[in-house]
Amino acid sequence: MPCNALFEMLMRCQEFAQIVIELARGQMMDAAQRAQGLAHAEECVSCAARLSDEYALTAGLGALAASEIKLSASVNTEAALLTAFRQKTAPPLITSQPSASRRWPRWAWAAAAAILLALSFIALSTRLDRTPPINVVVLPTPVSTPPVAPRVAPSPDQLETRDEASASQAQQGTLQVSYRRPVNQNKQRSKQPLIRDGLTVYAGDNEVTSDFFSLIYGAPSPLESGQLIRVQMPRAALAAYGLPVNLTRGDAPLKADLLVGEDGQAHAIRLVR
Amino acid sequence: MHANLSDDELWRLLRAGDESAFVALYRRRQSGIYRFALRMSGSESTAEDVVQEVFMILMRGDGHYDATRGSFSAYLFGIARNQVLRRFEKDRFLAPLNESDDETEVALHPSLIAHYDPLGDLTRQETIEMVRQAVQALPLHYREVVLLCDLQELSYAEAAIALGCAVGTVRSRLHRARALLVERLGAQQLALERRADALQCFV
Repeated sequence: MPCNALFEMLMRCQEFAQIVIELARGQMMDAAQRAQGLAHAEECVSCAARLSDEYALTAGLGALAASEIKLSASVNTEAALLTAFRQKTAPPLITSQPSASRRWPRWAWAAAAAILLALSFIALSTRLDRTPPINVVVLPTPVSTPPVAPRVAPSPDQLETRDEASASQAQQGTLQVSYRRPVNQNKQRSKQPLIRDGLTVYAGDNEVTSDFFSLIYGAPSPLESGQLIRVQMPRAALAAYGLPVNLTRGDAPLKADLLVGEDGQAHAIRLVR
Repeated sequence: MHANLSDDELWRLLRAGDESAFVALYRRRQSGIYRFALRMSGSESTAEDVVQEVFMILMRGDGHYDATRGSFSAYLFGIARNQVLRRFEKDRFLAPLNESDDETEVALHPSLIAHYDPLGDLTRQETIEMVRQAVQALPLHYREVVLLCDLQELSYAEAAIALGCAVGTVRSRLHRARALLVERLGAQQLALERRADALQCFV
């Protein structure tokens, strides 16, 4: 065979190798290409042998596929999938039981209760700590001891500086109130008691108080017992008690301690800051 | 009722919660998935698991089927292939996929190598069994193209979608796989005789 013909033959063998499987599997392909391939197989023994092998393999694979056509998954698999499908597509049930996301575990409830109790205790303790010990314990008044009138701070129109009250003159069984300087001359009080003998009232450590101002017109009668009540009042109320008002502070409320007698009447007031 | 509906139509009904559409789609496609998984893994239990997982994925809507990209069957086979490979990785049966054409790297168990015996001399059942063993002995990336293209009759394009590779890759792998099968099915001697005859033409 001439060289050119041999070269052409080899080229056709290479082209044939590209399409031999499609020829053997009977796949759709260009009609002209199929015809050339088959024609070459008739001319070339090796390509014809290759095509024959591919035909045989295709037949063997076809037989294998046909023998397994009835192989399938078990009925259990279908049943399991159907159950899962029905669960997935079923409408959600509405129950009164709260959802898991809203349901608290027991430990969470216990922790919340404990926290609330602790906060309550802290709040109560803080309230008690801030409140001066105003539970007044009144000692019985000795019969022989005449009541002593408390020394009263001057009225607002008679502002004078007084010395510290002679607390040593306090008599047992009586409440001696030390009326001190007016509110605009406050000094920070130490822990020195303001009311002696049987009754001790201290201002809070972080509080500044004025002296007591009598709210009873004229000479106040001695108090044998009473109550100290912490109040909050508008500044304008000071005027009603005849006390000077600092108008520059606007309407900011004031804290004050009222000394209330058994008659329910406020006998004295001190300002607290 | 759903026998005349296409896979795409059944898929849409399934997503809408139609139980009968789900059953119809399952019964239409499950056997092909099962056989593919069985020949890939060689295990019936694995094949069952793969079928269940494939349709659970469909049910949950976890997959992303796009009808414009390929057929529904190719989509299903792609899911099945991934599930089989996952099990292989878990069981460490999977050898690294190798694009090399060097057949010496392929390890074959001696019992899986078919002895020379021309197909024409075998009974049909023996032929089928021999072909089955030869397919099972193929490397994984050759085996899957034979299963999809020759046994499941997917086109090159559909097989490419299922395998996640190019059409040309599918074609080249199939050519190579079939060549290995021919060799292992004992046609080598016959081919040599035919090549000897062909060489005489050029002398």
